[in-house]
Amino acid sequence: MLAYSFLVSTGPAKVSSVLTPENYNTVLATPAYLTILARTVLITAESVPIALILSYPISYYIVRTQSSLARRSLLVVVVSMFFVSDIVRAYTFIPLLGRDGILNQVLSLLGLPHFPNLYSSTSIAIGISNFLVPFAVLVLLGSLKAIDPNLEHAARSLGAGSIRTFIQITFPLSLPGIAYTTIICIALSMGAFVTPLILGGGYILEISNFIYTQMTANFDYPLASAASFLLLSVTFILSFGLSKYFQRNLKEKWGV
Amino acid sequence: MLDKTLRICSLLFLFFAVAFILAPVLLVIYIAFLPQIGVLDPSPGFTLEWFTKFLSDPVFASAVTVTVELAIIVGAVSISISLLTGYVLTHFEFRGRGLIDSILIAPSAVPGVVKGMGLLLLFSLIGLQNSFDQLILGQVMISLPFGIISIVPSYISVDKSLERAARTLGATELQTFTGVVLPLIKPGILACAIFVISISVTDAATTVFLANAQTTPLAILLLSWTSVTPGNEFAAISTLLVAATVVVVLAVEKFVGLEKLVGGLYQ
Repeated sequence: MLAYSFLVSTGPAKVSSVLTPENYNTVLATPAYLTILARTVLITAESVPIALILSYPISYYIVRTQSSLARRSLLVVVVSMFFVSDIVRAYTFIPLLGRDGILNQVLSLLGLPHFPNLYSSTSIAIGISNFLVPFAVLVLLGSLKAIDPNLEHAARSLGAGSIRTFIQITFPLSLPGIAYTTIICIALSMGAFVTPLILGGGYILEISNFIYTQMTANFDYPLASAASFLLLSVTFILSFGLSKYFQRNLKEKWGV
Repeated sequence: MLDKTLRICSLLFLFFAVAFILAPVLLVIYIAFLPQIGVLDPSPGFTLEWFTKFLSDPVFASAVTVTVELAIIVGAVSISISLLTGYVLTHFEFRGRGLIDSILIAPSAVPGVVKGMGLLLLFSLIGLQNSFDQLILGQVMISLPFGIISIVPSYISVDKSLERAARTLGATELQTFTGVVLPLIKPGILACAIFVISISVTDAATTVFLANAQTTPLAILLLSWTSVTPGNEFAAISTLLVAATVVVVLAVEKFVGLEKLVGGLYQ
């Protein structure tokens, strides 16, 4: 493991045997490549919040529901989707979002404008948030489970309504879990390969697809290495920056 | 009153969230049984034609063979290494343990494509040419961190005094391991096996770098089929894969309990 991370980082020098920042310059100075990088970050910025908003209620319900049947069936659904191949998960959106897909049929029935194009950043963002939800649910589950339900009972018995209990007790206590989940989701989304490949239709590339093409079609190992290293750095900066931000703000604002 | 409206709203939202992850899959399962490609105006009736079509395809059969062989070998190797590593990590204190911990955790945050590229460069550097060997080594490397992460919690949960008791009563370290520890960490081994094998079967981002035309695992075949096979046929393949996954998950739920399985993820 160490060996290859080392290898990746010294990749640009491996072929030419001279260390040169040229590949990084190429990536950073070519607008087309920068677009790909920006698109990857943008799709991550869209899909991670969507995934979090959708997975929170699922996790919360699994942790708090009294019904064992409901909890277990939800877990079966989430865990099954967790293990189903991302190829299948991404593919399922083609008949849904395609030109004659279900969504457009429903939209035209309602007299609304069509979903413009299957192969687009929007589709990729939808596909990635769908892919992230099971991960987020399972990770959030741990932090929600750790919250003592007695704290909520206490708030309720002291006269707080259910909204107030949630906003002032449950939500702040789950913030560290949300922060952790966000960081995991960012890493997963930045590195997504299969979903943009299938839902981008080969035209809309994310950085992973760019790396793959450079490696296998153009055999430009140094450029691919430089792009990989950029991807790693951006992911690292995003997650490290966010975790610092969370650490500082969680302490200040919520005391957790 | 307000409370009731709120409850209904949150249940609706929950329903929407579950529908978001479930509906596309259900739609594809439905399409798999339709006789023609369009969903728009399906002619009445259902068919199994798409299932027989890919099941009788020799390319599909050979991809399944590669995937099964890989899963067995990668599973055996990764599970054994995870067992040993987990034991060492939980039983010995030594210098550099923190370093090993972070080396084990870090790769799970590295994008699959970057791992695949690194492995490809590494293999060309050391002159490992056989694609199947590359796949085995590569998949062991990418699945190990997850295997170890899922097995360590069950090692930690084993009461150390049980092991001490066995040792005091004259058992060797190996006897203690096989007689006391191993039966207690069975759920952890199962979790480890499921994670490792599912990575080996479904990973595409790293595997795509190591496969070639002669050695194509199922995931890579599917990746190339998404654009070329008729929609219904791909839907049929997806249906089969989803069904297989659900069967395994239900079996685990019945015999072990899912909470135990996924517990390792967030500890």
